[in-house]
Amino acid sequence: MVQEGDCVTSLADANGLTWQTLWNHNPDLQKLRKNPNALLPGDVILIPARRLRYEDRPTDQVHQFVRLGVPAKFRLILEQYDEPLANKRWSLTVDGKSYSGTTDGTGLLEVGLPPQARSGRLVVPDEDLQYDLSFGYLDPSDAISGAQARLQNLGFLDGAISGQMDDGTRDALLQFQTAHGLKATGELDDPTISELEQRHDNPHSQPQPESNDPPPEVPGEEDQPEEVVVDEAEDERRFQEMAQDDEED
Amino acid sequence: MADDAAQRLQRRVMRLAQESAFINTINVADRVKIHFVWFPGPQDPSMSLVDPILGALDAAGNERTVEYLWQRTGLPDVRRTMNTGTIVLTLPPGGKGTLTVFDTSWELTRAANGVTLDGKTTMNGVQQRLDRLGYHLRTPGQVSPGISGAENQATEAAVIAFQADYRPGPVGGPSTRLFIRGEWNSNPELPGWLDVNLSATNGFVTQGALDAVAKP
Repeated sequence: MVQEGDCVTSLADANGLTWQTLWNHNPDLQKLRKNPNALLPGDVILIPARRLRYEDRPTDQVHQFVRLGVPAKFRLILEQYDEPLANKRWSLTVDGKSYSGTTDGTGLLEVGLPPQARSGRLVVPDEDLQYDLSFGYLDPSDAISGAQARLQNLGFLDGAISGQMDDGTRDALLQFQTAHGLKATGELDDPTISELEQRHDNPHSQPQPESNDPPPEVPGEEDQPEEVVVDEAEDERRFQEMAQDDEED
Repeated sequence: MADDAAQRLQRRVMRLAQESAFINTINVADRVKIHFVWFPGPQDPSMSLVDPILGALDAAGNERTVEYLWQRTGLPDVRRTMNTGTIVLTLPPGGKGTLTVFDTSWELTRAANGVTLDGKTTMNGVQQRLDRLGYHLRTPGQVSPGISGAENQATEAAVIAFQADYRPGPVGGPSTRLFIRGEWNSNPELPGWLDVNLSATNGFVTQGALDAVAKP
């Protein structure tokens, strides 16, 4: 059962899988949620068993294995009054580790994060902005809480995220619909959900939404080999383990 | 900004898979709402000008809408339709833009940070509000809005006109003109942004334009 703060990436990491493997194992969830990065608490996700993968490697070398799916990504476009906050310095602190950089011409900042990262603080000193970010807490756009969070991020909602369709949310929806040429219903209807996703979840320079086709599955165990350097001591240890296994057989 | 929890803003965002093309977006903005109202207004000032018009369907059974054009320096023109009588725009403090609707262009100027209306009980505050509601204090040929803080004949005339207008009566009569009323959101991200100045470059909508909307 999905808990608040979970997404496919964090759940895959916690279970030693790639997010593609986990996502492809859940076709029913794919039908329900087209964005694997935004799940709703209570969603049911099936965790497949891990499969061992064997890789033949020479015994007199050290091999480094790189785990797929790590780190997770955080990508954010910063705008002010619909114009990108381009070339602005930013710093992000997550679990005591600091990241920093400068937004690009579209206001985009991008950084790798631990898949289990839950909270962080983003500071944009040039604009005197400071945000406490909750990673993985954005619900799907067709849930009221997800719409509220997106309306808040886009500057239409000042109130708290209640998950309830209250007057403040209706007013924010009306504002959003009016601002984007939609029929002003004050309801979370399909055109509004689609526009919210377009404005919040998708790169503005690429208006087509992300494909819902499942990503290619990665076969076998989650660790993929990549030869880099030699570590004779480690190879010796593994050789001893294998020899011991053979004796037991 | 002080390192104070009350000053920080909470935001829910997505943690993204490595190959994901999704993003998160934060737009630091409050929204200026422009209401179109009957002038002289009905007793209920929240009543929209276009509600009674656009609530009806046209001859083809389609919902009636009004097209508008919003032009802000440095940004692409926005051409949209409204069906409620309210337009939502982004306009930073000190910013200017031109809104064209009903064949009338309105130059909108937003007050700079920290600029607010004076209190309702001061003469200055009363004059500022009258001016924004279309009861201008300037005399013919006068350039300045005529907001002096002094009690004078122009102010008295404007107050009488306001009181006369806001009495029960039908809307859309022969003397009805179109005016706009500005609202603003106070946004914790943007402390002190409290005011919107609205001024029209060419005043009133022609009766012909109104008729075109009311009786297509």
